[in-house]
Amino acid sequence: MTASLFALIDCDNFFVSCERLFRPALQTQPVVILSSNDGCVVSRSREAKLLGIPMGAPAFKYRQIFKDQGVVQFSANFELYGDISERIIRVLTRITPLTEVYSVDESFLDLSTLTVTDWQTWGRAVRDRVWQEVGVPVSVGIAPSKTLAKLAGERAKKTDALAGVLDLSGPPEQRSPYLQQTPIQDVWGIGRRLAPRLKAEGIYTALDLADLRPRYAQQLMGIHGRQLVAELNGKCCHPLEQVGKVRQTIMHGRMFGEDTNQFFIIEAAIASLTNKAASQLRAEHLLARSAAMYLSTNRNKPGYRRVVQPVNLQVPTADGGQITEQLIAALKPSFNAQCQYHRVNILLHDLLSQDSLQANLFDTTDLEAIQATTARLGAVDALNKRYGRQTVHYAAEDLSNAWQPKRALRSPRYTTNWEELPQVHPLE
Amino acid sequence: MQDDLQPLANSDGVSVHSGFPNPGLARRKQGERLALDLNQLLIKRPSSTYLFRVSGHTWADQGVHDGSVVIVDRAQRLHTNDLVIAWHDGSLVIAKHRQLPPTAEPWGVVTAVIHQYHT
Repeated sequence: MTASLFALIDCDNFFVSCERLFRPALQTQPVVILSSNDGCVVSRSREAKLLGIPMGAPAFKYRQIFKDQGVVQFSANFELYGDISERIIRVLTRITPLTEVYSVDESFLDLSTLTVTDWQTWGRAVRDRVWQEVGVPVSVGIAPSKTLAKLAGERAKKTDALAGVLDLSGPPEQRSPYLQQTPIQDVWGIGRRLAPRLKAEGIYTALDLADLRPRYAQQLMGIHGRQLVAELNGKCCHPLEQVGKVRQTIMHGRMFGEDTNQFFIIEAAIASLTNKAASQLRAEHLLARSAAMYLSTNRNKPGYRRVVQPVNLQVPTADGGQITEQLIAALKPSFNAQCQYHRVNILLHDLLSQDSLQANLFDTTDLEAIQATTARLGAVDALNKRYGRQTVHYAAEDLSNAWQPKRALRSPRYTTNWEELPQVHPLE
Repeated sequence: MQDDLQPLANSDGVSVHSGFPNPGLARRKQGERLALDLNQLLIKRPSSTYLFRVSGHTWADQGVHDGSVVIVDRAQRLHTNDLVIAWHDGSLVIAKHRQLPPTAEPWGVVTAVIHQYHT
């Protein structure tokens, strides 16, 4: 058996880098990307980080700083980011088909089948190649486990001297200084919840964690802890997850354009979000057995209220209409018109694949009805795909846009819309 | 029964009538193309190819007109006679590589120009 080896390819301030690709003048300026509805900072350039603008900062609190420091703001342009992300994945897949797309800006590569002697040089070549071909900077972390590769990528990004590449494929003592530099909360899989508990036990860095006895780690964090210790010591517990595992949840949420107490606006938003989620279910040949709706007022204003409304769908379904109906029926009794609602989220969970339904033959399930619905909705999806989204929609899906996000500062969809191609002027 | 006239929507959003089988569709399912596709001719490397729209008449004698779409491949090897897109003075310009001022930075090589007479 060959030894395990992974690379994490991680884009640097990905959304900002996408914006800079077509706006070279932004290269040295502080740039922030705001979430939909221009609510919070979701990506920051290095310059913006140095100004002390935190991740997730609510834009309204930082307006003055943005103005005084000349921070350039963009609304998230997900079509652009999605297209650039796909390009990077294509480049990586050409290097090795053993690629796991972990998120929009991070991929793991399984390197165990490649024959390379100098991984540092290889890492630099990958970085150069993505920059040359796609035009955005990436960091590369190389190590025998995914947890270590993630840590290496993080160090490579934060330490200027490493120039974006850190190879930890060598002996363990070579890794120790980097493990020591990594605070425990930055270790992949620790997160905010576990970190305080570990610190209370005197575990402050990745190195402290790597040095734990596996049995003690298991007492502290369960089997997950034992695996973490093994991974940090270069033993692979998490292989590449390539073939799509069945999704567990689909979540869609939006802030209202303006806070609202109007039931019909909220209803319209629920219908639209639910239908979006349901068409995603159908695209992945899934059915949902449960749904939930979260409706909340503005957290930053006094009298914060949050309504959580779970719904047990009687029959597994991918029919947005049916789900909407049940969600709205469930919301009615708990709806309070005195509240100004700010945000609604829809969650579909307890998913199963359409095929497994047929194999299981639930006795409560009316297979024929489901198949008829599936066929009808398949036709709806086909029409919407062909003539643009929203060609066919449910009556409740208000298209008045009252609840649609503002996205006032969105850049052109340079790579996905013919009307918005980047412009070039001839050199005079 | 009028079954053979029932339109069926398949996953591509293409309506077909069942009845006489279309061998082309079956073949397309296997990923084989029948008709010529301009992407084949114009785009060698999709992951590194970007499109720009030209604004200005300066290069008309080179076949680059106001409103032309230029196809730019960032992975194309650069030669001095190439037409390129470059960062210059905070914006993107189109120029002959050899004419670029030293401060300009090439962005990608123009591999084709599309000028439409009718849209």
